[in-house]
Amino acid sequence: MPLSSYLGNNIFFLITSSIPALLIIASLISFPFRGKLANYTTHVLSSIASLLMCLISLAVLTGHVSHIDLWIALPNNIKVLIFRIDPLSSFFVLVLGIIALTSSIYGLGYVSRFYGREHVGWYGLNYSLFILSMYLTIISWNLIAFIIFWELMTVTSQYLVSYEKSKDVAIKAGFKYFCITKFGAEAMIVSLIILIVIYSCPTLTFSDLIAKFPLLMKSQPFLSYFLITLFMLGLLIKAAVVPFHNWLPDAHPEAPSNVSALLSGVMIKVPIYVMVRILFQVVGPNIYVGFAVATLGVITLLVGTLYALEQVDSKRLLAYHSVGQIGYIVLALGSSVVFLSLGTNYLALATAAYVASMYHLLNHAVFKSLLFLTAGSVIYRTGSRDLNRLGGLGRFMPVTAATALIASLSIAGIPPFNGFVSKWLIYVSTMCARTPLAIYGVLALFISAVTTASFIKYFTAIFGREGREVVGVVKEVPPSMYIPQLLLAFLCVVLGVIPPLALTLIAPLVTYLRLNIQYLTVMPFLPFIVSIRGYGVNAVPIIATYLAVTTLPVIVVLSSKGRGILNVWLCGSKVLKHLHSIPGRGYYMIFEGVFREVYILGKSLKGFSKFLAEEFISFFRYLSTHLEKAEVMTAIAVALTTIVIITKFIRW
Amino acid sequence: MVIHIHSPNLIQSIHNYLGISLVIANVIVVSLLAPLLDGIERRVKARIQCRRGPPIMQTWYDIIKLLRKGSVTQGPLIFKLMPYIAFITSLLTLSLLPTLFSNSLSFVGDIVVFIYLLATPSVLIAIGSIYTGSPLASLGSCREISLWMAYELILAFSIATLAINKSSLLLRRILPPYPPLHPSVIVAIALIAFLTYAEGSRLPYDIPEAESELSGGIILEYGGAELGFAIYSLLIKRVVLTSLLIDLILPRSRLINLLSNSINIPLLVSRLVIIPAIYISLLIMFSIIYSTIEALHGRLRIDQALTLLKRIAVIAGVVTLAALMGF
Repeated sequence: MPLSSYLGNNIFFLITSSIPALLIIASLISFPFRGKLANYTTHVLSSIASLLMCLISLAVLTGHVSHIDLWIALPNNIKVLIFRIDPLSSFFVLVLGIIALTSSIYGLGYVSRFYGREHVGWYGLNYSLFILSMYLTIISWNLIAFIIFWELMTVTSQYLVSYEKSKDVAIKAGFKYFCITKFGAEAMIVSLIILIVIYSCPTLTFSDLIAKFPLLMKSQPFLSYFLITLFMLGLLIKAAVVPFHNWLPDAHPEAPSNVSALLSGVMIKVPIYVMVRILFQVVGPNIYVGFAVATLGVITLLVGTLYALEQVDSKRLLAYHSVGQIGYIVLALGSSVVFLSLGTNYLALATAAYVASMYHLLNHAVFKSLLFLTAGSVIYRTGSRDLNRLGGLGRFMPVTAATALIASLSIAGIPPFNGFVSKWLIYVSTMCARTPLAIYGVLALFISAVTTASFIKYFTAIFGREGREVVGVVKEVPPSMYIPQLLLAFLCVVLGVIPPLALTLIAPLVTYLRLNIQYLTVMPFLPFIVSIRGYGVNAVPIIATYLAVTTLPVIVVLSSKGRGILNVWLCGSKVLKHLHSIPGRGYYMIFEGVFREVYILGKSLKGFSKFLAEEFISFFRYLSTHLEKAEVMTAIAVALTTIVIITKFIRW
Repeated sequence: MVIHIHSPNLIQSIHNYLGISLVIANVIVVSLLAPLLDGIERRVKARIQCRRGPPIMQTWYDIIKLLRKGSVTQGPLIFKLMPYIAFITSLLTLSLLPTLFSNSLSFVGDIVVFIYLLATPSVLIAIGSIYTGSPLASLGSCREISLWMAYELILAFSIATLAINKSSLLLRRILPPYPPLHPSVIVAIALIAFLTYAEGSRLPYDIPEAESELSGGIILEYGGAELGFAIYSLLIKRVVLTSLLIDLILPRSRLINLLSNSINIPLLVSRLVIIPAIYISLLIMFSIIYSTIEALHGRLRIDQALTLLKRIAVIAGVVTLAALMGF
């Protein structure tokens, strides 16, 4: 069957289609090589591709084109495969582009530590395919294509997680990650098959779904809720929402650090993208779904962050925080759905919550990637992730220390960095109205304190005090590694100080979902704080004053001369200084002991997800070893046909 | 369940220069008052313990002496920088509250900014202290942060209770939070009163500093001007907390209306003279009460304090739930 592809002569179409080509070329060239060449081809080509992604998404977000369509059609003009970059997906492509660009540049230096130990070509193949699959997942408009690239994303990232084959932990974490997310993907596939059978349309696209699903919700509410639940299950598992978060803290730390940045910065945002489509466009404002999502979000941020507090492994701590921060995003998203379903009185709050969610998503991508990169730099120089033993690196690695401090303050939400604005929007949108969401807002505020505490530990344990083990003199990382860190740190500051910059990027998403960005006003002359229209006076630029005034002491201190330097006071003890440092686990031990109830809650949730994982792993093992047996094949076939028959002929 | 929508002219905003200058006057006068209040507290404590006590200006003398000294301290820039930024942050916190005059910086969600700015000084000084690697300073900082997390939970719950009652996140609309005087509002005010005492790290809760145990704890490694600013920012934080409590119980605008309607006192006089006088006398009154309590208590252990705070946080959560249900 001849396939003909219709490419417009427009430059945007060319760019959009050249990104996959570049990434595929990168993977093919790098694969045969084991060393330097593979590293350079992969990272240079994927950084070019990610730059193109930024370009194309900015073109859509700034309104140069309303959307970009790419399709492959049969001769009779039936489009079998459609890719579409609309405002919503272009925002996510932008996030992917920024993070992929920085982690590709960073990888140039970082991956050199694998020379001679691991097969770098294998890394290159998976790395470029991983970026490609995320890109295609975000832009594919057909549901079947979407699920295929979704699975490709899982497979390639799983290989990257278990890339260091010498480490047993990495292999195990990769397998666990694969099994759990595969379980979620199966749930999604089942619901997709049912949908395709219902509509008898193998090329089902999102626009078909948006047009037809509300009818189904009316005529067959039970079936449609069942389908939503199944589909959301897959998304929630991939987004590592508690109680399905178990795989993330194992998997993300084991990958090479620049891949961890991609995993935490972008990959767990892809399900959020689909969630926005499903919740806002397909399902529509639904109070039950909204509350369920918001509740899951608040549980996620509680459990994820409180577990992060007790971690002593730098990357594992960051991974738990990824769970926590996803909680913030999901909470805001759910609140937005709830407010939308409450009617026009709440439209301003719905807009604020939605913008908060997208803003926090962008911010989290930036600062969490930066944190993973700094953790990677520390690994690159010292080979250690242990917060009990590390210490005193601030003297040797000033750039890494400074960027880590900026990222830590950003994720803690200390003004004037970017985390502050988005978190502030989340609290304001949830706490204003008299709904149970107010309690969620309070818990989010509390968790922000816990995040701060946790990052005081992360920063000071690595860069401050004396390490428990003397590491000796280490050097700052090479420029290819600290330039991306500086870039992301710059973004942290810019997104915090100039919120309108992010708001102009988010505005098309808001108008696309027929919400009204006009509810968020920004002060025209000193745009430092966003305020919600109808809720009071425009903001006073307190942050501006703050910035202006806080630069003063920097000048004072830099110009002042101290009389001399004294050693730390150790009560006259002659024992070596580093033996007096608090180990990472000692920071908040008493707090964790007193607040153990939360950990008991977390443990039971963890037990649930562990049960789920183990059941599925054993099922998966059984399937993979017995697949050739006739009865297993028949069983699967029978199950599939029953599903088809049930959905086709029986009204639920 | 309709949200109250404010129109901008309802709220007294600081569009005019007078308003801004009054806010600046607020910040300057109250920050100058802060060490004096500490002087009063020291005096009261000494009297209770049958000592004579230092002169009231003593805290001012201490701070001036410290600010004059050059620093002989640890090297790292981040360590040296933190007290200065902490000091400026605490001044900004002050500008968010109506204190002497009832003008303040005000915008939607300023409560959240207030909570953040209130916490920032101690967070920054904690980062600086742990960075040095001094065991006693790190221990003090970890205690400070642990306690702060628990305070934050209670503060967030009680402020949310007030916000829910008024359906607003604007400090101006919440202060004072009555009428209507719901039971949940009374409990929330009581909780905040407790917090203003405890979060100012006064005696049963001065666990981060713990003079006799950690010899200064969180501020141990600082000296000279940096120490001066660290102490000064703690004193300002105490005044900010007390002012929050005063704002919660003092109905300024109603008082002004009452004075002008019944005794015919002109608005300007009551706004610029009477209200500041009431405010300062309340500040002194609370200082005396607080120092009396402080003189009568010993220090709690950190785990005892945290357990107590956790129980109070549970009460605060129940109160917020009650407020949601309209009590």
